[in-house]
Amino acid sequence: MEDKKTLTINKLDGTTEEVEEVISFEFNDTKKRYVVYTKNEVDQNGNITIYVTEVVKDEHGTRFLGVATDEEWARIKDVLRSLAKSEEA
Amino acid sequence: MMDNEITIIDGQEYSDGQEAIVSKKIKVNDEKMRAIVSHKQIEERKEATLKEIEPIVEEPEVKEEPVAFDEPEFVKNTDVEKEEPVMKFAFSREGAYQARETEDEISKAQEDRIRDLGDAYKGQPKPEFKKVIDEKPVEEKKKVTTEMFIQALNHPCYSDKTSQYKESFAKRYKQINDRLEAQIDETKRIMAMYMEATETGAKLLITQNEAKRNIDGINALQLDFLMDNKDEESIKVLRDLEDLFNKNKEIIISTTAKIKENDQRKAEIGENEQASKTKASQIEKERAEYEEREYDKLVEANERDARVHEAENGLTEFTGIADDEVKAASQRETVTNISSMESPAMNKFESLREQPIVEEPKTVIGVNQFMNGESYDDMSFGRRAL
Repeated sequence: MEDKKTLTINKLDGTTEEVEEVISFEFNDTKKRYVVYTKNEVDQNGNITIYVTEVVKDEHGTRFLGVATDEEWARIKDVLRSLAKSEEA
Repeated sequence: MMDNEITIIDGQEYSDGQEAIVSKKIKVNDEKMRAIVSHKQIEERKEATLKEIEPIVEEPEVKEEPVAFDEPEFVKNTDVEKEEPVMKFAFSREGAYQARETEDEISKAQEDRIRDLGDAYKGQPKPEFKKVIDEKPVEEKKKVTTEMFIQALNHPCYSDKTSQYKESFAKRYKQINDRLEAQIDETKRIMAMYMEATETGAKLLITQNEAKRNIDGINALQLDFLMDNKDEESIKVLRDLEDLFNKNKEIIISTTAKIKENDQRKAEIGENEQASKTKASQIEKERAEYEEREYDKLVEANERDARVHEAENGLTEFTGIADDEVKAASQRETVTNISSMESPAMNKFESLREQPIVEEPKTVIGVNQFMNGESYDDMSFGRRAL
């Protein structure tokens, strides 16, 4: 990928991980923001694993909150499918 | 059914953060990956292009070259008009020049002609031309800030009437501020709940992961035992392992339910947080509108108060009697005699005295404390020592 942008994630187990931002977006209705990132892990079929997490920035700092509900996760997957499709079209 | 409309944002804002809950993951092929990334790049290119265009938009170049032949030249300066024809185009020129007896007439002729020409140029917009017409200096109203408003509100005044008048503003203003403060506190409380739920979720997840690891370990151990040991003691160990397995399985089941419940709670809290933030923004907007709407009244009241005081002082100097005595005198209608002395200070005082101070505000609401922790009751709106 061109123009790589990295994110630093301070993990629950105390370690730090540098990952690469794929895309970030906000749902217009809920105003929740999400970051999609990758560690560039490729499986034997050539598929890349991407990670999605909700992000919040407030007086407590930046927090990665995962994806709260299955419904939310379904919406995110729809968005990713749509983003992947619209370029193909 | 929710609409999945999104806005691409800059993720670098979140370039360094604390993981509270592990991220969800999904696999995509290389083609889809590139497609997803390309959306971000399109947004970035758009932004970069807009940045380049921005200065041009902000400072449009105004052409000042002479207008082309037979295009109108509009000159606003009336001094120049005496020497040069106001308009350089062929339209009842003689009639127009001869008829200009006053500047008003010239101005009217210009306006009429501009309108005619505007019609003639329909379909061929002339931005420069239009700019000249629209170039009337627009006085931008100074934006009223909270500091300005508070300053005007706290401005000491001499008369009780002005103090009372300003009190009603202070009460209303304080009420808005109290509501805002309460809403901000409420938002903070909800955010704390959200954080707590996040931490609970993280802890549950850790417990669950630990149970999963235990089960993986137990499975491996069981297999080893089954392969190598078939004696009674080994079977007993296997049973113990099975108990341990069941225990961990229960942990996984219970934590899964708790995680789900916690997630639902988090979602509800998140919605409440958003609603609370929106409400706080609305109150903030309401306060800004109130400041904007009432600021001029306060300033006017302060100025009038100062003018009246000044006039009273002038009168005292002139008559050599104390301020209170002047008031008493005016109440006794003896001012007529004093004003007959043709004192400018007295005239000023009289004219100010006759004016109604200002219209009373419509909303007057009780007050317990003013913003910044200052007690409203302690605020010095009363008369300043003269």
